[in-house]
Amino acid sequence: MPIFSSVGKYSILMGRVFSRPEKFRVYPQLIIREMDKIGLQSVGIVSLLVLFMGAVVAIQTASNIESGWIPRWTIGYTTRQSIILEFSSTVVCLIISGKVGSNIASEIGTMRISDQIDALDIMGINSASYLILPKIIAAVFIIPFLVLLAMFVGVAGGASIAILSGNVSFADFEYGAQYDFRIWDVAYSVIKTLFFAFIMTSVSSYHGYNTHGGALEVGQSSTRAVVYSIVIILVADFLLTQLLLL
Amino acid sequence: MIELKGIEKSFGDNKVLKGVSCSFEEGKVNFIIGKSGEGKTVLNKCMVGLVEVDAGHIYYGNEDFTSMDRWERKKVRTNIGMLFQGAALFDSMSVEENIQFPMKMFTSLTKGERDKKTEEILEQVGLQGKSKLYPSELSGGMKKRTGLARAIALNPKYLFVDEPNSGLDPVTSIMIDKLVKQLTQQYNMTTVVISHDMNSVIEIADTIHFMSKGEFVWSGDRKSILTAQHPLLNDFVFASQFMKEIKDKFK
Ligand SMILES: Nc1ncnc2c1ncn2[C@@H]1O[C@H](COP(=O)(O)OP(=O)(O)OP(=O)(O)O)[C@@H](O)[C@H]1O
Ligand SMILES: [Mg+2]
Repeated sequence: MPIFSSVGKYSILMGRVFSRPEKFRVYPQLIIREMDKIGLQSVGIVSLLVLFMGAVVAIQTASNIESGWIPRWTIGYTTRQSIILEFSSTVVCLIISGKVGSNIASEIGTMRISDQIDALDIMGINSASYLILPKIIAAVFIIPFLVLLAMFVGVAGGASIAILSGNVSFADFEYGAQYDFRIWDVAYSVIKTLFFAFIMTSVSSYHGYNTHGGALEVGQSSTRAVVYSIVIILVADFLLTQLLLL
Repeated sequence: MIELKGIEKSFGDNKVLKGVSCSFEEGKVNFIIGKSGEGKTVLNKCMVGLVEVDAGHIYYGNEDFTSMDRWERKKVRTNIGMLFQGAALFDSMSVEENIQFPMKMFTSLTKGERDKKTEEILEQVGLQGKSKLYPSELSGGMKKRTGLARAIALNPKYLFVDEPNSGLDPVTSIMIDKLVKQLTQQYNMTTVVISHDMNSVIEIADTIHFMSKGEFVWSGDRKSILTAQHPLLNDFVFASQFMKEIKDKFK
């Protein structure tokens, strides 16, 4: 079964990534550079995404509770819950996977096919750890902040768009958005994010690191990196939801 | 000195190396020549540990590289420099950063000392004033020279060079060849060059090993290669009309 051999190869690679690193002194700089690439450079797309998600959920909820026996503040409540529980973590991580995953896989894949990884290994540097560890650490550290930002932008910004466009009134939103707020929901989302961040960086790095051939294969690796990251994140989301919410 | 004893390597059913034995001497440029696909690059990768051998031993000095663990190998590797066919420069780093990278990782030199050393090396390979350029801004020959500069940055005892002049014009080729020879003598390195370019062989080879079907079938130096009576070797060496004419003159 190819899946078992892939899981095996992935585990061996992760073993090398987390074995004793070369020289601790060079890592902080590498991690900061990755945080910029993975985190700061995704702020724009993430904000844009949740802004419209928030607005759409608010408007959809508004149009679905025309009937009258459901209170209007449900609009604020539903928007907040969907943003905090699912959109800010899972959907945002899926989007980041698309951007960061292809970026990581093509960067590492190009290094592989042009012998740069062999060059590191020959120098006596653990290439897996040197190239992949900073990305994983950076992502696991910075993506939760992106998610917190997404929660805020999604609820506040989404509401503003829905209100300013005249689809929902401020009063409808305000009470619901504060109703029965539990900090655990935020924690739940952030915990999930830690897993997602690890998955997207490690899976994409794996596909890049195991590229063979030329430019064509780099393209294929980067597509595979995104597809696998997304599928695994969705499965993990399902499992984590069972585990954390029950 | 590097010594190989009975190196074997297969990929599936394809037995690429069938018991390669020889020794590469210090302070000399040792060539491995042979037709395409005979296993030269695989042998090179075995020697530096990028590919594990199936059988046989590789000795660096007196130490058996094949039986070492990762940490012991790491020590040997800090004495190995390698110039890859495509130079394998780090794209995200400038010429200067590429050369300083091994120094940063393995020495405790200060920035001033590193800069001074880099300047010396750049001058040796003829790249003064190019230190701030990035690999994408370099020509093929400049990339090779930068790769060579990076390979010798830590004064290695062993230098491996795979196809030093593929894709280069004759003038630049000879320049790179001479540079390899000069650095080998200057630092008394054990240099192993893989090539199928007869010009380089005639220009700088001290010892030559001819590989055919995964074995060394002939060894000698650049004088004896022209007079050797080995049919396979003759086919290789005198493949071109030009070399045939030289041979006739030589007689
Ligand atoms: N990783 C690998 N997996 C399977 N087979 C391989 C691998 N690497 C090399 N080979 C096979 O080993 C044989 C020798 O290849 P190698 O690259 O050593 O040739 P070469 O002598 O360097 O040729 P060239 O002069 O063209 O570079 C070829 O048949 C090749 O298909
Ligand atoms: Mg080759």
